[in-house]
Amino acid sequence: MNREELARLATPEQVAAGVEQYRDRIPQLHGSHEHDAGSVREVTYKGHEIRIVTHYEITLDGRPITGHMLVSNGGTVHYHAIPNQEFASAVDVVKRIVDLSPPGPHTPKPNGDHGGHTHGEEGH
Amino acid sequence: MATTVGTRMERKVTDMAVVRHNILKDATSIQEFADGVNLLKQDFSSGVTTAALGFPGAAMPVSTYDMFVLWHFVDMTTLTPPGNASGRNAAHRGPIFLPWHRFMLLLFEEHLRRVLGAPSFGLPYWDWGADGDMPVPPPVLWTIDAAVGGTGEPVTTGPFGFDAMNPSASFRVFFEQDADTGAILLNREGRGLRRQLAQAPGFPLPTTAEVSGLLRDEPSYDNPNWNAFSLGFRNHLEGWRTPGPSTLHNGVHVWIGGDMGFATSPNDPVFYLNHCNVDRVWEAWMLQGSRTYAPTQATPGAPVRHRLVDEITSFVSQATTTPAEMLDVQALYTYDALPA
Repeated sequence: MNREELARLATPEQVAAGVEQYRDRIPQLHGSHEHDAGSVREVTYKGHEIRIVTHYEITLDGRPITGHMLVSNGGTVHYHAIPNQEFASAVDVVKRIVDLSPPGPHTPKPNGDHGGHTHGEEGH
Repeated sequence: MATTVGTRMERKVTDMAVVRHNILKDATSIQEFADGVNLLKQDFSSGVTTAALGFPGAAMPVSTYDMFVLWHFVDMTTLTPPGNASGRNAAHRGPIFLPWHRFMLLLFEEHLRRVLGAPSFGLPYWDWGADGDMPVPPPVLWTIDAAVGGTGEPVTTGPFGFDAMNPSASFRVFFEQDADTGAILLNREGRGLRRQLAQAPGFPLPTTAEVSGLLRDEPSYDNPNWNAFSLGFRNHLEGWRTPGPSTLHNGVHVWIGGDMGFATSPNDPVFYLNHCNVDRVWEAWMLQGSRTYAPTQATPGAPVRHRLVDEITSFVSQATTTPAEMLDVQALYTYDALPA
């Protein structure tokens, strides 16, 4: 890639064409990602197959926390919505959600305007 | 033909590499970065709307700037392979992290050049290690209002500040991640940027000693199992050091907080200053050793979308690339100085 090629690829027309070309990724934008059966850990130990499935049921001030959480083999927790941290526990995840939330009392999210997808019935 | 933008003499340089400068040492870079971001935030020339992106309700135009936010979100929430237990995704927690973001920065930088009309503009970087060396906060970047503004919910200072008396003329966030569900939300009115500088306990800025240690101690790019628990340069620079808190790239996200804490983190223009410095450290690592990458297509168990010649696609262009193509981009840009 040289600079002329790069300039041709970074135009308003290319932005529109990119959306059209990768239209199949739009469902991902609206959360069709990874509806799973919880966090699954699978380890082989001395020929034995270990499988651990973890489900969380979390509320914060009564409202459900339904984002996808993963538990590592080391026991740390990763939360997709706060992607730059690994947490010692799910409690620490929720504390961080509090920290990152806007100050003041919780306010409803604007219109749930995210493409008609419902999260969290199960598996998160 | 020569034209003047800021203090830098412009000319046709489409065949020359641009230079990326330390934002704290180049007043032109500060001004051009701020101007370019605000222009890109007002650039609706692609014609893409929220309706085209599947958001319900009346169609709203989507700025070119915000398309990069959405691209980052989509790839960060795409697990590779689907369902993998380590959380490896199409842009993070795996070998693809560095070439993916290099590609993103290249396209973003080119769009900034386009809206600025400044062919020699190079994306500036924030050398956070130098600020992390300082004994007393706040670090220098955040004391220069003309640069990126300060802290707050919303940020009210600097070029990306929110003015409640004049919101329509303010820098606003329209696409945000719901912390409760992980879903993306469209905020039709827009809101001010959120930052919580230095408020996360136990997350200081990285230091130059940490960067030097990284360059000295990590001879291999990446290793099995190619995830956030791997040994190697990529995982160390990305900031996954377990046990222990996030550091380097991740640590900077956490130190800034607010919008930088989510998969929609490109909402904060500082995202690009952070990643430009990450890219600079990668470039230094390759120049002191060799332009190597792992895994290749022949590596057993290597995850698809993370191998040497796997395709990286964009959401803002038909352009594609591969990690192999991103290893040597000296024809496109260089840095004014590299860490050692």
